[in-house]
Amino acid sequence: MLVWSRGGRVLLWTIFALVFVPVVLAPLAVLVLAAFAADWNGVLPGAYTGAHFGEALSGEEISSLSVSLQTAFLAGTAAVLTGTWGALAVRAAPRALRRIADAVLHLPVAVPSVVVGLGLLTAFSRPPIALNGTMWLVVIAHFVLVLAFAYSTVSAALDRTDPAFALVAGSLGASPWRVLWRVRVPMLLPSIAAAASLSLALSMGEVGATIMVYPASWRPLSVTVFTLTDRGRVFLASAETVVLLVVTVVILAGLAVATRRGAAKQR
Amino acid sequence: MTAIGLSDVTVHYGRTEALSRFSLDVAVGETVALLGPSGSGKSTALKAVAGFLRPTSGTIRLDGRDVTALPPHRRGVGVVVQQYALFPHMKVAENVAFGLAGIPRAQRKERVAEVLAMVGMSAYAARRPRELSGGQQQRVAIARALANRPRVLLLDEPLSALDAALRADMLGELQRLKRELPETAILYVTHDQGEALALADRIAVMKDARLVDEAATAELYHRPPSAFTASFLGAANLIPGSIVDGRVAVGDGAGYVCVRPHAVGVAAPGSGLAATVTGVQWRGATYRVTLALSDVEAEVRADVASLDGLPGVGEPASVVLPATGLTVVPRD
Repeated sequence: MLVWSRGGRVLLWTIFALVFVPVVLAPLAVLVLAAFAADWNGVLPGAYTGAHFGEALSGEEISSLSVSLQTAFLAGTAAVLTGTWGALAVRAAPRALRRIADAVLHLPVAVPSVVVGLGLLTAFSRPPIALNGTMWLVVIAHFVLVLAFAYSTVSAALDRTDPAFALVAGSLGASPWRVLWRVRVPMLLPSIAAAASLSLALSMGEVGATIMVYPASWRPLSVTVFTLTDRGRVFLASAETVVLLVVTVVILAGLAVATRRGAAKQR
Repeated sequence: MTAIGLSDVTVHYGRTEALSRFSLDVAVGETVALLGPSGSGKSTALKAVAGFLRPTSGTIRLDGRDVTALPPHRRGVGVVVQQYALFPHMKVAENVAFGLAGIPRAQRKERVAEVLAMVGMSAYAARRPRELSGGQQQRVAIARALANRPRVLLLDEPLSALDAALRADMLGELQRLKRELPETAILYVTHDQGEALALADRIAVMKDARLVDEAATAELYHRPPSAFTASFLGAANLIPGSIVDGRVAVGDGAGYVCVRPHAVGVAAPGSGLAATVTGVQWRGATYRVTLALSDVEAEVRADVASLDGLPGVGEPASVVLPATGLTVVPRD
């Protein structure tokens, strides 16, 4: 604790609560209430029902969730693999190339998702590579958007790793490949898991680029929520949102537990 | 037979010259200490031998074979680095076995047990590096480096991460290991003269990316060829002057008279070189008395067993130099 006086701490918590409650907690609470609301005319819903969740977990809606999960898995895996490779490769490159490659891999952070969407749409809507109307355009958009985050997560961990580990492994007779698989990658696993979590969370919530490129056959849950809201079906949209939130949190928690088990093994 | 040979090795980090035309030979079974202050290039020289960096120019030979362009995994040298770099995701035994990938399983197991016993770590084979103390990690790092019987062992400040008591213990261990490995050439990088004196057959003193002096340990200690070596190895007093007919002529000539603090005596005024006591530090077994000479601008440090009858701080005194064992070094 940096604040020592009791009064100071009370003040800090009060300010925190004043910001946190209306900005983060209240909208979430309203969302959950709305997900269960049969009608809502007063301050609180007039009656409650589980019907929205029934609808959210059936038919077209549940397949939308499955699309979200598949997209996140495909794009996330590709981004983590590419990001890890990039972080390792950039360090072996000559200095000038290293700077450029680092900048290029960080670039998608600065590019608005709408630009990514439009770019992919115009680039791949005509032969030789016509991906327009396929799921791949959605996956590629997500891949591009999360790659920079995956890259910088692994890259930051590599910066903190003493190069002596790899050098000593080499001096023990291990080829660069063996050093990579037996020493460097295992030591990076916690950050690779963190990169996977981040990629997954970002992909599950992505709307901006997705909405420009998704085909009718491949509609992620985030887009479904958006279109439902657009059509005024706020209660169902709320239920969908809660489903999206719960699924994402459960997967992230699972990844975190797995990572901690892995790290505990190393201790 | 030369186990390690560096000739005219120059290393640049960017535009900085970290090692400048450095030449050194280490014979089979010999231990050579690279001694110098931080930034003197001693670690750079070791890394060049290990293949951790590529020299700008010069040649590195191991057992007569030119390895200058070879990567570390083709050199077959054992390396122990300052922070040990034990692989955190592997148990102690797995760490030690890492360098034994090429040999059959049963033999590998046997060899791991053998080297762990050699460093007294047999009981810790199933532990993770994080469960070990600094000294234990150090032993494992040495066992790992020795596992595939390298003919060359490189030790980069291996004791610097340990506390003083442990350092003395490990120094004894290293002396024992050295006796057990009569065929292994050891290059030992340190900034600590005590470690160099205790372990090395020869010492190479380095400063500003260059080799300053290199000679057999006792020779270098007793007859230092330069002022830098004299003060770095044994913290010698450097008194401007010369020796004329066996007597010290202070302020005379172009050299320094070089004398170790333990050989200097302090007495009441009138019996030696006139001086003033400027400070006294109690060091347990001895007192370190610092004095300023009156006739020439120089500070003299003397280690004396007792302060009885000696002048106090600020009082005039005399510095008594021994009649033998004095050397003169040229001024830098």
